[in-house]
Amino acid sequence: MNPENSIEVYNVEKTFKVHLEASHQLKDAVIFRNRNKIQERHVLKSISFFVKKGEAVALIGKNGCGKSTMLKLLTRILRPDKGTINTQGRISSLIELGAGFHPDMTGRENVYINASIFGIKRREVDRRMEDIIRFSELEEYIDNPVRTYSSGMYMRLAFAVAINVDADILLIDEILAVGDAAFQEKCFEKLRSLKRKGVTIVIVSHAMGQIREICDRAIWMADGLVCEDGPADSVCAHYLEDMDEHRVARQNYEKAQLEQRTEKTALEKYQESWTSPEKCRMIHESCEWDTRRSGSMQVRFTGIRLRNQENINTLKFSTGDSMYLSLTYRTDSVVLKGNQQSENNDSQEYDPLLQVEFSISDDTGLIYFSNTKQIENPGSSEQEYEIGCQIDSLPLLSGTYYLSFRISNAAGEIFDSIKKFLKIEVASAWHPEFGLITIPHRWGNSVPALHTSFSKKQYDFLIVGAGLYGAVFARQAMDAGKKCLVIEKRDHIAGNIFTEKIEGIDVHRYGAHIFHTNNKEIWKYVCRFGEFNRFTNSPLANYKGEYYNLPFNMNTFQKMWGISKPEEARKIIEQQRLDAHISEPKNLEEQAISLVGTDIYEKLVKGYTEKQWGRSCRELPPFIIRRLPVRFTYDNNYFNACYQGIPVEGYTKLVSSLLGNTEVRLGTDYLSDKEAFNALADTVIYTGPIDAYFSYSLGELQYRSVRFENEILDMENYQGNAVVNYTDAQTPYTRIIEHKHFAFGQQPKTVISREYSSEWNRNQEPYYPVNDEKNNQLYQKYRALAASENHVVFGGRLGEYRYYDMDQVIEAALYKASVIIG
Amino acid sequence: MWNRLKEIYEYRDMIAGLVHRDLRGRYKGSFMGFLWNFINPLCQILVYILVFSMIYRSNLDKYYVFLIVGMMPWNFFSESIGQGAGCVFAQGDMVKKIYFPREVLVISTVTSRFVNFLINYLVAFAIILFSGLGFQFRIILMYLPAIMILEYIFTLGLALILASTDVYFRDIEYMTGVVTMAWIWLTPIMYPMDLVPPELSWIINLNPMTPIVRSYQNILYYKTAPDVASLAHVAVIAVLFLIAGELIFIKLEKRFAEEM
Repeated sequence: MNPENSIEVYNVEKTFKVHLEASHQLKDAVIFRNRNKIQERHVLKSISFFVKKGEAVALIGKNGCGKSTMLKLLTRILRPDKGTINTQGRISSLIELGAGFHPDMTGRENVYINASIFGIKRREVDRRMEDIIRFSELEEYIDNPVRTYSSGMYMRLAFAVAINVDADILLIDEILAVGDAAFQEKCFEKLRSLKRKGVTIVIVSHAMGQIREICDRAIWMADGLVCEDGPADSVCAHYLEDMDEHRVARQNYEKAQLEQRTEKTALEKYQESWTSPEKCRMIHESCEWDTRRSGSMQVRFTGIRLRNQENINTLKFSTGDSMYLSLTYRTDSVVLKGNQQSENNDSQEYDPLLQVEFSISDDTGLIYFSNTKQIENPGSSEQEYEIGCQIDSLPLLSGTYYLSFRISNAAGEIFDSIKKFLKIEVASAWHPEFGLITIPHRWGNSVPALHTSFSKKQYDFLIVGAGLYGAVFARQAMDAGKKCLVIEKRDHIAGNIFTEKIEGIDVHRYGAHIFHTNNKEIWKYVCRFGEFNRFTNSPLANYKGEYYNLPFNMNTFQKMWGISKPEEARKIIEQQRLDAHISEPKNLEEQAISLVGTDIYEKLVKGYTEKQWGRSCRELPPFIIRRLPVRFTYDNNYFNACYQGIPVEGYTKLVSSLLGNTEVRLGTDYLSDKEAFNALADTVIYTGPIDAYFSYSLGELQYRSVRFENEILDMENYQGNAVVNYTDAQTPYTRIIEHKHFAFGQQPKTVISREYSSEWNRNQEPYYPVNDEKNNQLYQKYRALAASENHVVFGGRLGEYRYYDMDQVIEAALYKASVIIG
Repeated sequence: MWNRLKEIYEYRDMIAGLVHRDLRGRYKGSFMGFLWNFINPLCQILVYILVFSMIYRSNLDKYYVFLIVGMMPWNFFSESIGQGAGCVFAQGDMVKKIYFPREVLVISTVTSRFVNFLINYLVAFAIILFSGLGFQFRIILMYLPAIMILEYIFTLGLALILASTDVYFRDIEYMTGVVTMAWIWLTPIMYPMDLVPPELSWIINLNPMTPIVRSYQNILYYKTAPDVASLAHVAVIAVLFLIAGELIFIKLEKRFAEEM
């Protein structure tokens, strides 16, 4: 025997005599000698192979091919009928685990017995006992009787003994399938280490994965002979292919059997004839041999072409190639007629649309890409149609993929479905990528990071402006548990609704503010922070000493024309409107006259408006007044609001309640050090002028301004009404506000404010935005800039460049807060 | 052949393990456990003592001693071949899956019965002591071990033959039992040799167990040296049986795994 080999097998032959009537009785052997039916099974016809020392070989083959027999021959459990087997070295075989275990003896005792069966001396076992116990992980149970072990523990112990045998040749028969994954891994590791030590290993297994892990070589046995003997990878692959062929052959055989039994109609037979491999090959000559075709064949594929970017028919592509697919199909008149005969009217009405689908999958059927195209039903015409599909750049990385095709109708009835029809190979030589597909992308350069975005800022929100918008937002944030900082340029909170106590009277420093709203929620909200009285605004208009009620209502008309009935007033106004003959108002004057007539315009609108705007009404655009409200009832309520009033304790107190104990810094100008302030909070709510934020880079937004002259009078009641408008042109001021009447005050003195309209420049208080087209467009540009300020929210009258009533500004702030805070 | 014997020697630990398993495991889980090994023969002896000293009187003095001294070696023999015949088949699983010299199974069966026998013989000694018969120590020491070994060799040889043939024909096991039942009467255990009529004595003498049993009786009951000529005769038969047994076993062993 060659000293390099550990196993030499020469022409081994083995036949089993199978007794059909299994009788092992003396009498049968003697008396019925000739009657014993014996079937001879020629399991091994002539097997020869050598195994070198240290090699790991797998024996593979289908069930019944003689692998285990071969192993038993190697182990000397069986003897060959012919041929010789030579072995060198001690053989340890693992054909069954736990043979020889006595259930009542403890694990430890059984280890001794089992080890002795393997031929290990007792002293040797003593030395290895620790290793065995540790390998089996049964430290706690080793001294319990084996009868109490679970099957897993049983197996572990048996394997632990078997694997610790100092063998030169290890023969393993399909026992590696037992055991949980962790233990299997352990066993494999041990086998690998044994292999490294130079132990020859012969394994019989069906698990190709296991074989590939350990064995370098595989011997494929079939029909009692060695079919192939070579590297494990290729032999396993060939074996699997062969298995597959057999499986398909078997399937076809079974199908044929089935068909013989079931009667098929001629139509069904015709339909099925199209699913045969020959017919499939007519569609594409290199289609897969195990493609599966099915369907009713009413519409069927007649040809499928796959071309690459050089317009060559191929099944090999590279990543990024173009792929051009063309499908030809037609209606099968035979099937169509057949269907029409067997069913009634249904098949006469066919769908106008068909769906053509192709998909790309891997060999297990996992679909990578599938898409459907709707096409017109060719109807019952005999014409062949073609449809093409182009893929500009194939994103698949290297591998093998399968294409499947299908034609169906919109209802889902399948006409022709061919699964795993074509196999394409994709090569991606130059792609340094890994995975299934490639995705177009571009990397930038590595730059130092600008600012740490991970540090938690001191505040959640920085609110610039302590006006109504800012205060409401601060309240909402605070209620949600967020930390806010409010900074205000002025030295007081409340913005333009600031009130201060002068002579015991709440004076509205920046003009009259009367709260009115139709929104119950807003009213309820605002009442949380202060009690409101029932002040109802009913201003008066003073025209050259004549006092008229505002808004224009029956009281006004009565005073003006001496009429008393609404119908009369209506007629007069109508008359005056028509007399003016204005169809297209060109300026504000014409607009006003066309709405309310000359009398009302001359006395109550003209002077006031010209004082407000500082120019003649004829020079003002008509859209400033879209409508002038006229009421034909005796109702002096200026606002048509459900809820109206003024806080009893003043607006400042109201805003103060809103702010709660939020930190407020007065006299602080945000714009003076934007960077520093931005670093304080994650988000900035900016309620200042939006153009100022951007340093007027795109231009100045225009406003109208107002000037107040306050006077303290040493009398109880000056004008008897909170607001009196002076609508004649001669009086320089637009109106006088007597503040105590807002609160029905009874103080001994009174404070009045005269309002003057003034031209605005940047240093004046911006009161009213001039929302003409030019300014609005400028505002939109600033808005666009604002959108890119990620952490800044622009809100409020100045921040959004629009006129807000108090309730509207509260609503806007609440909405914004709900969006940002949640 | 020599290799074979060497191999068997290599597997002596397995033999020891199997013997151990047999002796301890046989009665494992039972209350008495290992003690059952004694209780069986003890009860048997007690019954004999009772019956033959009170009911059926024999003209032999202390007949029960005579009986015990012959019965125990016989029990060893009959149990050994009885169990031995079926022992390979009974361990078919091991035979089909693991490689080891199959003789180990037979050897361990016979050996475990032998160990049992030895221990039981201590009881016999105790009985002899109590009976007041006394011992001839010189004779005992000179001849008893030899006769025991001879019996062991013969038993083993026969067991090997029976075990290997039983794999092919299962009847052997049962036939052995039946034959043993008759065989005991062909051996002068219950009766002394001189009671046998001359016409039948040739059958008794043909029986290889006869000189063995008679030697035991000589050593311990009659307290005389056994007949050397018949001993030599026994020795030859024993060795022949052993060699034949091993050869037959080796021949038949090749197809064990297939037959089972």
